[in-house]
Amino acid sequence: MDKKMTRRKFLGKLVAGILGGTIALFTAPIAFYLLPKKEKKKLNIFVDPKGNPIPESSIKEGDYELGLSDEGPVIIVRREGVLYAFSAVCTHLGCIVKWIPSRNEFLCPCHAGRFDANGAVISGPPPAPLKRYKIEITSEGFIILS
Amino acid sequence: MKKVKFLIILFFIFGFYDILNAKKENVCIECHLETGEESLMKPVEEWRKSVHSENGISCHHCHGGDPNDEDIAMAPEAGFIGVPEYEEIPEFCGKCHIGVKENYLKSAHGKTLPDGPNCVTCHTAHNQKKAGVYLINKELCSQCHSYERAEKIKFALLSTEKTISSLSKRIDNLWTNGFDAEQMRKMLFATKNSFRRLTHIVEVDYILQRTGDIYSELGKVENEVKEKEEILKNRNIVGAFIVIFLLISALLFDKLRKELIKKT
Amino acid sequence: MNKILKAIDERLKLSELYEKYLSGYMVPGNLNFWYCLGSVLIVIFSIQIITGILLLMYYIPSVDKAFESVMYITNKVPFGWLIRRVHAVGANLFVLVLFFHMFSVLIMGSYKKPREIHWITGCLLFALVLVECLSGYLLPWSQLSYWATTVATNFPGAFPFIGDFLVYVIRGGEKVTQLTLGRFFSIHVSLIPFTIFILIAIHIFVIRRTGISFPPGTDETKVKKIPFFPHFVLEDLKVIYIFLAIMFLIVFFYPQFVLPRDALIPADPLSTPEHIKPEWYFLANYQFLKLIPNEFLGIFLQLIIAVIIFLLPFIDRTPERRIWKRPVFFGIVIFGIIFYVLLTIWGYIS
Repeated sequence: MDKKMTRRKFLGKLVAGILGGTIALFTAPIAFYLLPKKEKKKLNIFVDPKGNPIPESSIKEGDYELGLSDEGPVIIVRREGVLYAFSAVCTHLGCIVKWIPSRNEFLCPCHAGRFDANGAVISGPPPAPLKRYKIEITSEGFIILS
Repeated sequence: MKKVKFLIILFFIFGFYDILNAKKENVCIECHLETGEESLMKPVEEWRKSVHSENGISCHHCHGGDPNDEDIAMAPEAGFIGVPEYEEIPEFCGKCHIGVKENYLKSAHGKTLPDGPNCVTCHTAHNQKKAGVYLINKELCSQCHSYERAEKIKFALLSTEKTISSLSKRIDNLWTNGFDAEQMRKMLFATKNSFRRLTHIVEVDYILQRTGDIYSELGKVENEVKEKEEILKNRNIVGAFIVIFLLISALLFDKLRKELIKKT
Repeated sequence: MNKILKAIDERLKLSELYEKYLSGYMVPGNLNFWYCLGSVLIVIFSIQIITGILLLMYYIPSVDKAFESVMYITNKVPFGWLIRRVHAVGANLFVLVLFFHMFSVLIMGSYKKPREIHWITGCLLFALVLVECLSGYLLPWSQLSYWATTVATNFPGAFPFIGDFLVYVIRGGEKVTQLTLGRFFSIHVSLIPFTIFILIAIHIFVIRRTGISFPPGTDETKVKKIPFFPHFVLEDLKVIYIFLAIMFLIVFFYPQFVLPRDALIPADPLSTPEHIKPEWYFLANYQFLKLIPNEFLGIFLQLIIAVIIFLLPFIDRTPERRIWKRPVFFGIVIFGIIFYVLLTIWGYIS
């Protein structure tokens, strides 16, 4: 009787193990399936929302251009011939900032956060300055951010 | 009313068969077959068995003309060529087979033009089969010269040919197992192409000299194929384990159930 | 841990439910293999739903992108090939097990009073699964998808007067195009799975209300009863695992069964592949239509057969369930199955 009990218990545990194993077996591939593969490091090119690179020449003096980098929206301004690139995402709540040429500053339309031409906070709720990118120009005239 | 119904039904029956038998025929083929004349029908019948037909290359691709319009099908304005003169044949086929033509013209065969052997001597005019080393055989070659030298060339080509066809089969196997084979196929096709070009040189030393390059190209393809085959093998091992696990589990479920019934 | 469980149970009385519906739910002790097929079908349906949701994350229902996105799934997404193959093999297995399930119900006469609703919902489920398979077939937009759908959607055209219109509605236009893909995609991922789910719920509900039928020829008062859980569940699990083993055998070693060469070539509306044929479960219907010279008559006859099968519990009203006491019925069923199998084989080799 005792032997039978243990045999039964052992089988019961084995079956529970199998069921657990099956669940693990089935969920593992699904977990991998859901995790996107990391793409190989590419150049972080400044592109329009369709993914086409924006040529450096299209940004005129005193003008600005909004586009995307691998990390998100980026705003590029040309002042006195030099390009300045900043993250266009306001550090407050994530709205997209605009360049106000007349005042030489960035304005966030959501809560009137203001940043100066170097991305530092002038006034309003933003807790941190805008992230600045270094710029390189390729031979085709595209803008690489880093 | 009944007639209308019948007609509608008839219409759909034929409509359906049409779709099943949707082989687009063109006016060239229609007319050639309608004549009932042996010499005009033969090219069509032969072409249908050819590798060209298999790959969707039709009359007008070589002979020009308009296959959709009966009136100008054979008009010179539509680019119709008809039967090329014997000495024009290399040019005729070379429209598409550019590399092969180039090498052929440089070869001993090409230099004997206009009387020497040209494309159709070995490949026939309409019933071209997929090219291969088998084309170098005693029957064909000894029409003009002794087979000895040809055999040497055949020997030089044989192992490359074998490697290409075995790679092609392996890629096909990977493809039917769901792998994206396009890249590998393109690589192999390019190599095969330069090999085919090479064969038309008909000169043993040169062929042997170039075979090394072709082998290094084939090596690249093979590496790619091996990598994928390794993945396939691993998958199959895991698959076998899973199937065995499931079957053993089924057995254990049965055991536990019997044990439970024994108790009650 | 135990304390928390106890506290929850004290409030929700979950153990009461467990006793009432699982351990205290008694089923006949002599149930055989055939009684487990319903559970197998539920598992397959769940697998189809899960893999379907996963595929939906990467699939793009557009004629330009569909094939590409499927290739992306099978070649770029980790284990995408596995998920896709399981979905494809699962669909085939779904139909196969449904055939077995219906066959056992026919032979054991389990569709008879009081189980008419079971049969009706079952037949509806069968039809819906076939539509689900057919609509899913088009989605990868391969040569096989395109031409199989073109041929299949042509058949309703044989109906007099409305045939033309029917084809137009099914395809959303004259030909199989993006419009067809759009509607097939929509019903494949939303309408039909939801309907199947609801019908399964009704199917199970009515089974629980009437109880599982005793195997025919056994004395209901004498048969020992066993609790559904764990005894019968273990039997279910055994059969489920056997079918899962079959499924993974095909998934890993014979994917060509469900994904032949034409399924690997993107659709080309200008070139019909040779020997284009419907899936194996439509081969008999296909061969039947080829044999009957008038296409409408062919479809009409098949419809009549389908209606007879659908209304079977109302046509065959004798309470006798033992097959050996129903020789005429048995003869018809066997003849029908042999006819069906022969047509399938004929359709396959012709």
